[in-house]
Amino acid sequence: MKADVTVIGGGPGGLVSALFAKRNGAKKVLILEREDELGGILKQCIHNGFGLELFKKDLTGPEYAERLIDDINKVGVDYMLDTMAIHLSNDRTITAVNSKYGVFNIESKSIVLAMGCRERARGNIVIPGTRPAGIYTAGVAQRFINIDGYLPGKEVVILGSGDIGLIMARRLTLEGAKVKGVYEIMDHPGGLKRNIVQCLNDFDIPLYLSHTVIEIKGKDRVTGVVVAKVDSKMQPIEGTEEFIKCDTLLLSVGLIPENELSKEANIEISSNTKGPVMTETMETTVPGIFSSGNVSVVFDLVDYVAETGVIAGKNAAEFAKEKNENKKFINILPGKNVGILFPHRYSYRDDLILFLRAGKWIEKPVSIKIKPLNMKMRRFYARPNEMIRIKILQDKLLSAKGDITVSIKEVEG
Amino acid sequence: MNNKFSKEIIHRIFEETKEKTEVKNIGNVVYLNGNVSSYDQALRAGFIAASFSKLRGVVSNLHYPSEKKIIFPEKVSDRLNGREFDVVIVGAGVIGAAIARELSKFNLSIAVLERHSDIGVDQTAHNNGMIHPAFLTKHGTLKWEMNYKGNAMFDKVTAELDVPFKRIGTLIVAENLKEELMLFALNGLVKWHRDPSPKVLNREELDKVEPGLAPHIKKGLLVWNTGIISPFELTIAYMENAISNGVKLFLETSVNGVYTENSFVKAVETTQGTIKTHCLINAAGLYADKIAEFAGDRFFTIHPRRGATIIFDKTYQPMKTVLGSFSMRENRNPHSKGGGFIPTIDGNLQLGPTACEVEDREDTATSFGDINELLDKFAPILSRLKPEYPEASKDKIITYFAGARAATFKEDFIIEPSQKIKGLIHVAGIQSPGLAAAPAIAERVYEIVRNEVNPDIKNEFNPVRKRFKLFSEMDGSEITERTQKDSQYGHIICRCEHVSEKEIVNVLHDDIPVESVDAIKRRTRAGMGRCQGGFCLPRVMAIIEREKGLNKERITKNGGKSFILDGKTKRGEK
Ligand SMILES: Cc1cc2nc3c(=O)[nH]c(=O)nc-3n(C[C@H](O)[C@H](O)[C@H](O)COP(=O)(O)OP(=O)(O)OC[C@H]3O[C@@H](n4cnc5c(N)ncnc54)[C@H](O)[C@@H]3O)c2cc1C
Ligand SMILES: Cc1cc2nc3c(=O)[nH]c(=O)nc-3n(C[C@H](O)[C@H](O)[C@H](O)COP(=O)(O)OP(=O)(O)OC[C@H]3O[C@@H](n4cnc5c(N)ncnc54)[C@H](O)[C@@H]3O)c2cc1C
Repeated sequence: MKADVTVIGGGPGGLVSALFAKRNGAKKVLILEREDELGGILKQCIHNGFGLELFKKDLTGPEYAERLIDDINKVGVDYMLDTMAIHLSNDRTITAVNSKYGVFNIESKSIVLAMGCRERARGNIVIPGTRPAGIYTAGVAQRFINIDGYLPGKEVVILGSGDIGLIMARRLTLEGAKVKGVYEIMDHPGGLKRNIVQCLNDFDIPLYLSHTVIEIKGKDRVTGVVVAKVDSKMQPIEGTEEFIKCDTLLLSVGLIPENELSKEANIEISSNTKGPVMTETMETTVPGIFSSGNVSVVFDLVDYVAETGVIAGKNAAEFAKEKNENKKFINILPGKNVGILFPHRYSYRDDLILFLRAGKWIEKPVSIKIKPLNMKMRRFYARPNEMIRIKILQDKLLSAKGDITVSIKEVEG
Repeated sequence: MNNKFSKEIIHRIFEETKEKTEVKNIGNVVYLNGNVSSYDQALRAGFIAASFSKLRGVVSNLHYPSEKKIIFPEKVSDRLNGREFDVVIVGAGVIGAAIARELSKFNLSIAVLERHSDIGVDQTAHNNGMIHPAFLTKHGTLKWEMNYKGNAMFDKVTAELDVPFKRIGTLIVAENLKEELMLFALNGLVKWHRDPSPKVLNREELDKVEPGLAPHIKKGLLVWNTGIISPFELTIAYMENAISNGVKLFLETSVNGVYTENSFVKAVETTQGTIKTHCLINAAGLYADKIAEFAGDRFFTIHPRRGATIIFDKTYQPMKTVLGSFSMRENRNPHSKGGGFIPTIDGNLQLGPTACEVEDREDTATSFGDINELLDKFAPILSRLKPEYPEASKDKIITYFAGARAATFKEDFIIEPSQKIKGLIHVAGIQSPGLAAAPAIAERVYEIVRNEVNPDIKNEFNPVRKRFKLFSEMDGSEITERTQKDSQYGHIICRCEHVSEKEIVNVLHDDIPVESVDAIKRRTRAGMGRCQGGFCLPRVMAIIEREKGLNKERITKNGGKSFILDGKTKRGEK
């Protein structure tokens, strides 16, 4: 099988990439999706809050996905459902498997990775205790409730204050379950402010910062958890242990970009973003392989995901037309107080949209500095749970030499 | 004389523990009675009594405050009432399964009764999958005899049963001249324990078996017969082969009583009704003393000893052998085979086990203490590797688990016909290296049954079992070919471990009738990978629902009452 642009993953990142690849003149654009429907994670996010930026409308996840699916159908993007990419090589050959053809290869002029992210599980965070039923990641619980129509439990403790956990706290409460509390090991919440207010405060669900679950109890099914306060090194403080009765423990302890395929193609993975090392054109370190959405870096808004899709789709289409292996680039480096910073390189071909997260919680006015551009931006605070987006026009960047460094400084007054 | 002996034991226990006990000695079995201050003290008393040589067994009836009562499952049905078998085996761990297969060579009707919803889920599922060399077990014990004989049988057994097995060897490295000399003494010791042809290797030879050794290591002793296997897969294979040779397996069937008449076994009382038999094989692992007690032949006590193990991510592969050194051997726990970093047949490195006495036989909880203890205790072995090797840090752990060993106070295996009850055969106290010993234990039980029952040999016994080929073991063209015939081969359900729908459907229609999510996970690895079931759990449940006609609300994680869901949502109810 052959294609101009092949997109691996049919979530919002992949759909937008395919749409824009087509709009920018790629002939055969193919999406591979391992599920039986397009839409990715959006399908199970039946709450609203999507599309505020891109469509200027407050949509639910499925509505947002529906719009994109309509669009790709209109322009004539091909897609294969129930089809999983199982190998990727750096000559842009994808090996996939489905129940129709078995295992087959796709040779593609360019590729967009859009595999999304997965949730961290119990093993990744080491919670001792027994191994009963009743321990789920928030995303699995979300799927049980929103897609399968079942409740995972009635008395719930949530570990971690990521957005999915917060949204599930509300959802479970609306379904009549009792959410006993959200326990967060850090001294600040992981999810967006608006979710803390709308999902916890409005429902009187307590949020315990600097707390964690240190033991799981129960043989067949969870019967409770032991929680404890933690010190500044995130170690449990003796004497603060408390047993909380519950039948379910939901984990909302972070997302990890799904880069197993990327690693196979020898794409360099950034230890900062846990996704491919990328340029402003969304190209990875392997020419012709682009990336969009949460497989690149964990975004907190679908609109940002879509924005990366627009860029990746356009550039993948261009690469498919005329292989452009531009090697010239400068690095973009995180400076003081900057945690996550995306993308990693600037290759002088387009405007630069920076996404960053503060490395620590600063609850006072800050200034974001971008060297050597002499750019300074003021903000009222810098909070790691909210991604900051900064667009810099190409004109400003053309004269930039040497690496770009982004830092956040507290300012007095 | 008897009296004097008992007094001596009472005295010793009092001297060392300050506890007053009553001791009875009947036929070389010591019974400890009375009240002590804690479970720990009861344990100490048991060990002191067991240190007197020539005893057949030690039974502890010691009571202590906050003592937990062992509760047996309640009766659920009468569906097996009136059934009769020539042989009933209690327990489907690796030992019960191996015995079932061995006895299916006879013309006998055989039933295996297992209290859980799956086989091999007690000790067997929680062990390290190491086929131990014999030199670490005490020479002259039954354990040692079964260990060296069992180890030698693994090539044949795994070939017949189609179970992946690899001899990776134990490598004891010398770190200085003195230790290099000690290697030769160790070599003699290993031979004396009947491990076949150990070899002292020079650096060049060492590099071939363990390429990552630190530069200061010049010599080492390779005990090559150490093997690795999936204990669970071996148990499945034994049981599948036994079933294909006529054995009947009954899951969720707990033996709660034994009927005897004039000291003959007559029947067993189970949670599914009363089953008649004249030959009862007690392979009940952690509850073997209870089965003995039911039959009126209690001459040992099981005291569970928990062991925790850590599993690392597949990308962490610092070694190929089971690596040991002299300084490691010195601080070994006397009741453990040592442990350490042990590669698994699935390609993940594991670290374990710990050894900790626990009161509750079902205590398989892990603690931070376990994880830290393992890392602290065994991390030094990594200094025998090249300095550039990354250390075994917590972020490389993907999962951890614990299981309890069925230890007796004598700490040796018991494989013998009952001295009191005709037709009862004990296979008890089978702690580590019970897995390595399993084939030999089964053979020993075969001999006992032949002597006791004198049955005919079956002509049509088929020793061969074929395993179901996994998606991950097939190449592309084979998958394509199979998919053309059956589309389920091409439908991936577990994205991390690449498990197809076909494999899951196959498990649900196997001879061993399982239907829990963990039963599928244990057999196919679906849910064992990076995302730990986050992706495949709802999909696996949908397949169980379809294939077994089981409502999603009735689907369990691991049998019993481990239900995954708790009712419908408001929308789902409509
Ligand atoms: C459980 C969960 C809940 C979330 N809830 C919200 C929320 O409420 N609001 C919000 O703004 N954000 C939410 N997010 C973040 C969300 O991931 C992004 O907002 C957005 O959906 C990311 O889009 P994406 O296209 O990058 O990834 P996804 O939506 O995850 O899409 C990736 C797609 O790729 C497919 N795929 C992956 N690997 C392969 C392969 N090898 N072969 C074929 N197909 C493959 C997947 O099946 C999937 O359909 C959530 C994330 C998760 C994990
Ligand atoms: C942490 C750990 C690590 C180990 N590592 C190794 C190793 O690397 N190599 C090695 O050789 N050995 C090892 N062992 C020892 C090995 O696991 C055991 O010796 C072996 O599994 C014993 O098998 P079994 O069939 O006797 O016991 P089990 O697997 O416990 O089986 C007994 C079965 O009987 C059933 N049963 C109990 N009571 C009843 C009842 N009343 N009615 C019906 N059924 C009942 C139980 O449910 C159980 O399934 C290890 C043990 C532990 C705990």
